[in-house]
Amino acid sequence: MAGGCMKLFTFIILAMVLIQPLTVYAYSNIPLHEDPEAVGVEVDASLLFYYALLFKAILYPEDYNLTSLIELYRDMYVPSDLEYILSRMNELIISLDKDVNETRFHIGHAMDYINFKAFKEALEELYEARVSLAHANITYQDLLEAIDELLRAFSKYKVVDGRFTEARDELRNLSQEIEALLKLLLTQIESLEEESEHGYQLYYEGKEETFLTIYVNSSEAWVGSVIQVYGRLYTRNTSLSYRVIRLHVEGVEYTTVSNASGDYSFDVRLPYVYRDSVLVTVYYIPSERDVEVYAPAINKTVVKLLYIRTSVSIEVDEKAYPGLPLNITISLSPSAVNMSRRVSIYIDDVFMGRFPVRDRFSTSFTLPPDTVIGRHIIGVDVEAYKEYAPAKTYRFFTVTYMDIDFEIDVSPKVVIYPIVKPTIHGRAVVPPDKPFADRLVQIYVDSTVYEAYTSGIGYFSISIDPPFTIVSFTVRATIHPGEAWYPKVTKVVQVYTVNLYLLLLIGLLLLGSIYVLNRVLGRRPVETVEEAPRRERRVRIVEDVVIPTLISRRPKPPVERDPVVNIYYSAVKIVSDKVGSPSYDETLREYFRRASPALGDARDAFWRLTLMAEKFLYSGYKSTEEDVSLARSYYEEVRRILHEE
Amino acid sequence: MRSRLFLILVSGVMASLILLVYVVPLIDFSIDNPWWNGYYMLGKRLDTDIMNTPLTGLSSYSPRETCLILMPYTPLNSRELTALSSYVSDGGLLILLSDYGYGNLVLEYMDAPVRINESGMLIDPLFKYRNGRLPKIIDFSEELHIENISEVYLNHASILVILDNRATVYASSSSFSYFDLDLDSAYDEGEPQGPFPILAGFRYGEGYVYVMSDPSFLLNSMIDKGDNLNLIEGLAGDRRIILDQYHLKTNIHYRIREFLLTIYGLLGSIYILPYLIVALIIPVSYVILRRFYMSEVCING
Repeated sequence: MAGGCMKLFTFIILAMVLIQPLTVYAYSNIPLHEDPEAVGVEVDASLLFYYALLFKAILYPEDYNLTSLIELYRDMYVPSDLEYILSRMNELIISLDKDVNETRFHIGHAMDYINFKAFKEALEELYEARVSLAHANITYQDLLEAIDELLRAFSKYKVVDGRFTEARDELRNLSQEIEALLKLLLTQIESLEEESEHGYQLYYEGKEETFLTIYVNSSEAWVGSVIQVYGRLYTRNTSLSYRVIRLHVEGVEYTTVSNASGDYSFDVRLPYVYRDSVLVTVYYIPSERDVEVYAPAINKTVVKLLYIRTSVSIEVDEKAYPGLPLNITISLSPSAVNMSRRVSIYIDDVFMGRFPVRDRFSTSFTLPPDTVIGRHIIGVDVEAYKEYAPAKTYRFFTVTYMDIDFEIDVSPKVVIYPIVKPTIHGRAVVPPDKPFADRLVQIYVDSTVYEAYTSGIGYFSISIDPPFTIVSFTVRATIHPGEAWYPKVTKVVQVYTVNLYLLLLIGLLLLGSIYVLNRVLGRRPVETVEEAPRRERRVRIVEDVVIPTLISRRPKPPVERDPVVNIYYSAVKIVSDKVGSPSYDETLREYFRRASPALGDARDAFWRLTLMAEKFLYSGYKSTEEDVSLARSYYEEVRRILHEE
Repeated sequence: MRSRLFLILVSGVMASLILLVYVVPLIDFSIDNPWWNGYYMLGKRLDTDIMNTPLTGLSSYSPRETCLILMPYTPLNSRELTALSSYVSDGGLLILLSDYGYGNLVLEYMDAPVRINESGMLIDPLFKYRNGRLPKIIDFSEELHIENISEVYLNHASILVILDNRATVYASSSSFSYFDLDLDSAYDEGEPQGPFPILAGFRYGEGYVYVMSDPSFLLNSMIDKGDNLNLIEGLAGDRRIILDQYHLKTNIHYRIREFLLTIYGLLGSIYILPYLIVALIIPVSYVILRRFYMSEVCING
């Protein structure tokens, strides 16, 4: 037995183990997922394309932002053995980009100086540009080596896509483009140097050197304030009087004329830009007769900007409700003296209004009734005002519903239908105890909907008809508040019911099954006539079987039947096909009487057999072989006749 | 011999039944499944109501206080679709997580401005966890008002198709991603290139629907990666979560186990048990009484 159990166990476990893996992949062409800890590391050409993109950012800074592209690296998955190579590449790319940008920056400045005819300064800038370019060239050579190292490292991986060659070629093409760019910058520098030297020769050589001093009445000034920029234009020998002096600040150009002693002065209004400093440039370009005599002059200074940083904070209700006002308080610090700031408010990026705010401002907005429940964002933009810098901030708030205590119950607890109908009742209150009056309550029982209204104290009650169901059914009650800030609340209650109709039906079914059982189990088993009794028959005498034995719980010994009685029951089996089985309260003779109309010619044989069975069943006598032989002959006759029919 | 065989058979069947009931089936996304592909951890981390019945049962929940997470891997019938649609339009929040299941059936029924493209797999060769089939999402819209969301990892995701401007895209894959149509995990010419929307939402009646093109991001093996858990918590907000488990694709083990548990639950229910006992007592009493009667017949002749 143990072996059999083990076999079954093994079979079941094997079957389960085999079935399980199939379930993961069997029902879709596309696997739904894979174990992240079991997947292999894959590298594809996209990594090279990424570096190609970084190279493009060096080449075309107006189209790509290298800083944000490099930041993406932080989020990329890089196999550990490539980390060092890639980190080095990143450093080199950043360094190259810096050098290239510095070169461009100095070239740009040099061009500005050339425009101002300040060729001397232009040459100085071009020198700086050359230094940066030299750094860029060294970095570029290192970068080429790093690219080769990266491509070698790639060969260790099974690169999963066929774009590797394409990516490698693109990377190499772009590195060649960078080389070309470096050459171009060199050419530009050389060209500008040539121009500057030429200009220098034209404007400076043989010309008297001029100087332009620049001073400001304050090295720090408030944005929007007027500062005085002044100085003197002079040569080594004399002041240059009545010459045009130009001033440049944040794209705005001022012009003035030096006075008799060569002094000049500008009243410059500083722009409303809220950053640390602004560059002020003054320059002198000789004109008319001066061109042949004096060299140009340029000078610049930095003015530190002063402004007031604005701090803004929002206080907003932690919880807001659809259709109800949302209270907002905005605090500005520091407050503007004698003037309000203009503050724009946005909820979920929707402009709600612009308000004047001095230091503290409270307002409220009624949220639309259909506002989605959940987190929302309120944003505030403070516009700049004179020396007060702009500011912005945001804050989250939650839109939710107000609480309703909605309880339902059923009475009676157990409904005996149709004698009693269930009553659904309940109460709705707004916490702590404000009745929720005159609200619609819909009660759903299967597909039937009942409607009730809450009373002045928040109660409702309604009688319903239970569905035709066993034992229990579910009642769902929903209260419809009407106001947007209250939720529709649904409660469910289970109603236990004793449905008498159903019980009746069940009873009938049980009776039916008893009847069927009676028919099936009521038949006595037909034993073969030839079968010999297995045990010696106990003598069934009344003295042996006393009442206390009957009511005892001890199992009764099996009753041995007389062979003649067995033959009789075999005949009864044949007869019962015609007239049905004998019932329990039917005597052998009664059964014969009931069966006799259907027996025909077998009637006589069955009667005799009945009498013999009666004798050996009730008399306690044991049949002889002659009796058995006679009984068998009656049986054969009954069988033959009834089978022939 | 026969009785011995019968005993072996009965013991074997009983042991099988016990094993079938007590061994948890490895069903994808099942809350009972503690292995890498289950939702066991989700159930531990979030307080969820498990829905193991057809969606028609949604009517017993208050839509405005709850949120349904649905992963439809078996089709919804028309009654379920109606119930789901009513639930959402009455203010419910539906988070539909579907990659290769029956998500489009729901979306089509709702006439949604979003569909799920199930014809391939989202691959991101750069932003990923170990390989491109496990893409990392780092691009989130500011309109997704969930704090502390910066990276979410997906696992064999599909992509969304936005049909019109009723839909708001909340998260997208990187521009390096592509949609792998032939499932060779390699970019082939002609395969769509990213970024692709993977999380979008739209208003439906008084409710709201979020559609995400991957339910696997909440697997036991994925939920603690990046901000995956934050994302689902943020999407659900303050609502009580109902997690649908009825529309999962099951296996033979699961079905047998459910059947056995259902039978057990049904028979053991206090509403059925009395009837059952009565139903058993009657034939047993009948048999006993009949034997008693027969004995009396024998005794009394």
